Order: sequence, then structure tokens, then C-alpha cells
Amino acid sequence: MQYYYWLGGICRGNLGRSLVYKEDVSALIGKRLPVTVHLGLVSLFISVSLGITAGIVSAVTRGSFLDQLITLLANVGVAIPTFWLGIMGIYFFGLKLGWLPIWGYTSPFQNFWLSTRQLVMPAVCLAVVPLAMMTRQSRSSMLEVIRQDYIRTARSKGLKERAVIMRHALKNALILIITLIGLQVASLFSGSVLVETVFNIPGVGRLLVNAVFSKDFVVVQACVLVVAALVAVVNLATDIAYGWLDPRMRQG
Amino acid sequence: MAHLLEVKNLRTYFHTEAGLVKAVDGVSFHLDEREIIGVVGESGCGKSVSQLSMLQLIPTPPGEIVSGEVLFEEANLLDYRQNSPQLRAIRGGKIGFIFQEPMTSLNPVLTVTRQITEVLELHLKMEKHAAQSRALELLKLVGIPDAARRMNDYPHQFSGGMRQRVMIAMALSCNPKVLIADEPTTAVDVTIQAQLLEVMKEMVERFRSSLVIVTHNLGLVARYVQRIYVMYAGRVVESGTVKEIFGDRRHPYTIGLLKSVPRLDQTKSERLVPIEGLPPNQMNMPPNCAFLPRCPYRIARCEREAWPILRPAGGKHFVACHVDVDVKERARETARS
Ligand SMILES: Nc1ncnc2c1ncn2[C@@H]1O[C@H](COP(=O)(O)OP(=O)(O)O)[C@@H](O)[C@H]1O
Ligand SMILES: [Mg+2]
Repeated sequence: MQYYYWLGGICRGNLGRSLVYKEDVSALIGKRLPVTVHLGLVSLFISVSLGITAGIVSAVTRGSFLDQLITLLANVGVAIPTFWLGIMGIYFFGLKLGWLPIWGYTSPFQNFWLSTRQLVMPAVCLAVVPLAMMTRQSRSSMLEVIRQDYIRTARSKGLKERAVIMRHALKNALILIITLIGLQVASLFSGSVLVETVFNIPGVGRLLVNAVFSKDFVVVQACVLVVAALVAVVNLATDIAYGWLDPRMRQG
Repeated sequence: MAHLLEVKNLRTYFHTEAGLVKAVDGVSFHLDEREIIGVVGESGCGKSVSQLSMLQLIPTPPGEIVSGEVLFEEANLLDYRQNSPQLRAIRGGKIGFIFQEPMTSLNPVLTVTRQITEVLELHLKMEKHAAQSRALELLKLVGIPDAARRMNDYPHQFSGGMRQRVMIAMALSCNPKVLIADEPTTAVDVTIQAQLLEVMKEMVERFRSSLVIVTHNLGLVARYVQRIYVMYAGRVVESGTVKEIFGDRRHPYTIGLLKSVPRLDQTKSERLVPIEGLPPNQMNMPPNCAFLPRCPYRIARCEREAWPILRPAGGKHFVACHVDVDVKERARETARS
């Protein structure tokens, strides 16, 4: 019965009241969501842009020293615990070298420079594992595409290797890679729970952790709902990207 | 007179995990101006690899062109590096390729017109607009119905036969001297096969090109080609004019191949006889004749001696066999009747 009240509330934009904060959950999340989305988007941008580039370079120069180096780094990257990386980052760049602030979050609209400096470490830490995954998967997608018949056709037309890769291979590889971006967003959020805790960032991830520890189930429920909604939005975006990249999807 | 294209003693090997595959092992052939030739043999005998090797289009590794010469317009194409500008100018510009699988051989994310215009822009330095109207012309020429409306369609919107027509238009777009069609009709319906061959023949005549038709179906191409090369296990075992091959075939493999091929002029009582046995494993091949285990005419000499080289058999006819099959076959035929 409670569940129906809760559902009804959501439809009216009411997520309930926190047991601990004694505040509207919508308001709680509303303040923290932009923080997590900011962090997540920056990380996603880092992992996707660098990952696709590294993966494609690696595939195209298959077997070279560069390919071996990228593959090695990616294999290490996948296995690095985000938590440990965060602590190491704080220790070296924050405490030893004093280059970057070690905690906190400022809105970029308030103070862009401070905001960016504060976000560098958490965003990079959060990006490492998805970046490594993205690199590995882009490499294998590209290798898969390169051995297709239409690539041989492109070469048989006398095209430069650059045109073969950029015009003929890339778009096909992106179709394979896009699927993975959707999957990454879910894992990015689980990473942001850790990163927000380590760097003391007031985002949805930390709110969730605190809520779990204080048994504030109303907030936990709401956080999970928000994450699910985010994942749904991303899936919609990837579907749109699919239709744009792959003409076979356009008219079903 | 020098030939338009001449391949001499080509060897292409693949270094696979299971061992060395001698996919093409000493193949020679030539093609003259405005000539149509057929390269025939069972699947896996090295037809595609021999053609792709000419323009260094095989994957390296695992492939390696071990030796040979490919003489075309006073140059040896194997002297060029794999992606050198000289070789790229010939690919698509002077020698065009049509591949077997028209679905997988066209890029699924580019419109058919784009796949034609890019060759025109590259080799003929046409600008975009001119290239597009030329592409439309080509699509009309190869018989795409309603070409103007369909020029911005993607490959998946065409049937197999139509896609292959697009391939033909693409391969011929820069008016190449040579067109190589690697099993162009294998993936399409029987009814479409003859149409495609007609289109190809018509197009190479119009463009004054020469054509190499690679196929495993000797009967299908017989009426289009002037000369035939029969390949077995990476080598040419017999070659000659259509008349020589059909009327006076000498090699036991060619004899078997023709028995296993349906032909239009065949009466129903003549049964098709497939060649017995399996094609050889091209790894660790014995030095003697690769057809030996399947050969009904073998003699002691075949076991003892190395794979025979091609020797002249009159006219343009060459055959690589120790046995004078002609005599034996005649004896057999008489015995049967
Ligand atoms: N990329 C490759 N890697 C390993 N072996 C190959 C490769 N391509 C072709 N081969 C081998 O070369 C031989 C000849 O192949 P191919 O020329 O494609 O035959 P076909 O006469 O059917 O066109 C086959 O035994 C095949 O296994
Ligand atoms: Mg083949």
C-alpha cells in the first residue's frame, strides 16, 4: 500500500520526506543531481573521447609498440580500484605537490576556475576504469570492422589508408561502440559513489551512501529511481545516435 | 606483342597458426587488351588470393607474397610498397575489382552514390557535382531501375543482384583497363547470374576493358570467356582457349570439373558426376601431384615424380599432367559404348 502512495507521489513530483534531513527528498536530490551530472559528464567525455581515440590508434597500428603500450595500459586501467586511485591522487597532487585542491565542489557558474580545479582529480579518477574499458572495446570493435569485406573494397578502390579508416571504418566501428557507452553510464554512477565519498563531493552518490548508513530508506529509494531515470535517458540518447549512424536502423 | 597484364610465377603463402598454407604456388597467367578470361577451380584453390595478390590486397600478416612478377604497363606491381601512391593509382583507377558478396562488400553506412563518387573524385579529380551526375549515369548504364530516385539509397535497400550492379558501376567508374570479377554471381539467384554476366560483358565492351572472371562454375562462364585457366591447389593445371578446354581437355581434374558442371546443351540422360574425394589440404603438401589421391588415371610415374610443370599441348593449350589422358579417356569412352 505504501508503495502506491509512493508511486502516486512521484507522479506529482513528490519523492517523500527524508527521515534524517527532515527535508523534501526532491529538494535534496535537486541540489545534488547537477553536481553528479557535472562530474559524470566530464568523466564520460574523458573516457569516451580518449578511449575511442586510443582504441582506434591501437587497432590501426596493430602489433606495433604503440599498440602494445596502449593495450598494457588499458589492461592495468581496468583493474585499478577507483578508491585507491583517489587516495593516491589526493596524496600526490593534493598534499605532496599541492597542485590541486583535495576536496569539495563548487558550481562552475559560481567560480569556474575553482570548480574546474576541484573537479580535475575526481573526474579523472572516475574516468580511468571506463576509459580503459572503452579503449579495449574500441580496439576490438575497430579490428572487427577492419577485417570486413567492405574495407577490402575500399582499399581496392585505391583510397588512402586515412580515408579507409576515417570514411569507411570509423562510422561502422562507432555503431558497435555506441552500445557500450550506454552500458558505461551505469558503471560510471557506481564509480561516482566512491569518488564523491573520497573527495567529499556533495552529489547524489554521497547522499546515497549517507542514506544507506543512516537507514534513510526514503532517500535511498529516490536515489535509485533517479539513477534508473538517468540510465533510461542515456539509452534513449544512444538509440537516437544509432539511428543517426546506421542507415539500416532508420526505416526498420 | 606484350600482354596487357602478365603474372609470372606468383607465390602467396599464409603463415597460419596451424602451419604454412601455400595458397598460390607458382601461378602464371596473362590477359590481353579487350580479352575476357576465366579462372576456374574448386573453392579454396587460390583463385581469390592470386587475384588479390596482384594489387597486394591480401592481409599481411598472415599473408606474404613470396615471389613473382605482376607486369602491367611496363612496371612490376610487386615492386611497389603495399600502400604506395603508385599502387593506389592503379587500384580502382586502372584495375577495378568486383567481389563475391555484394552485401558485405559494399559499405553499409554510405550511400551507393557516395561509394561511386569517392573513386571518381580520387582518380579522375572530379568535383562533387560532376562526380554525382557521372555516378547517376553509371547506375543507369548498369541497369538500376529508377536510378535517379535511388541514388541516395543505402546498400541494404537493394537486392543482391542490384547491389552487384552497383559494384560493377563502381569498379568501372574510372574506366579501368582491367576488371577483375571474383565470383561475381556466386551469391545471387541462378536467374540473376546470367543477367549480371551480360551486364558485365556489355560494360567491358563499352569501356574497352579486359575482364577476368573468377568462378567455380565453368559451365556458367563458358560463353563469355575466350580463354580459361583451371586452378587446382594453388597452381594452374590446364589453360587454353574455350575450344581447347571444352573440346580437348587433357587434365584429369578439368575432365572431372566438366563432368560435375551442369550445362545448357546437356541432355537429361547425361548424369552429373561430382569429382570424388576432397580438395587437398594446402598445408604440408606432398611434392608430387596434388590431384593424385583423387585421380582416376594415375600411373606409377605420378607417385614417383614431382608435380608436373605446364607443358604445351598445341595452340594456346597447356597442361600439367604426366599422363596422356586424352588417349586413355578415348579408350574408356569406346569401352563404354
Ligand atoms: N586471410 C587468410 N588467412 C589464412 N589463410 C587464407 C587467408 N585467405 C585465404 N587463405 C587460404 O588460401 C587458400 C586459397 O584461398 P582463396 O584464394 O580464397 O580460394 P578461392 O579459390 O576459393 O578463392 C585457402 O586454402 C585459404 O584457406
Ligand atoms: Mg574466392
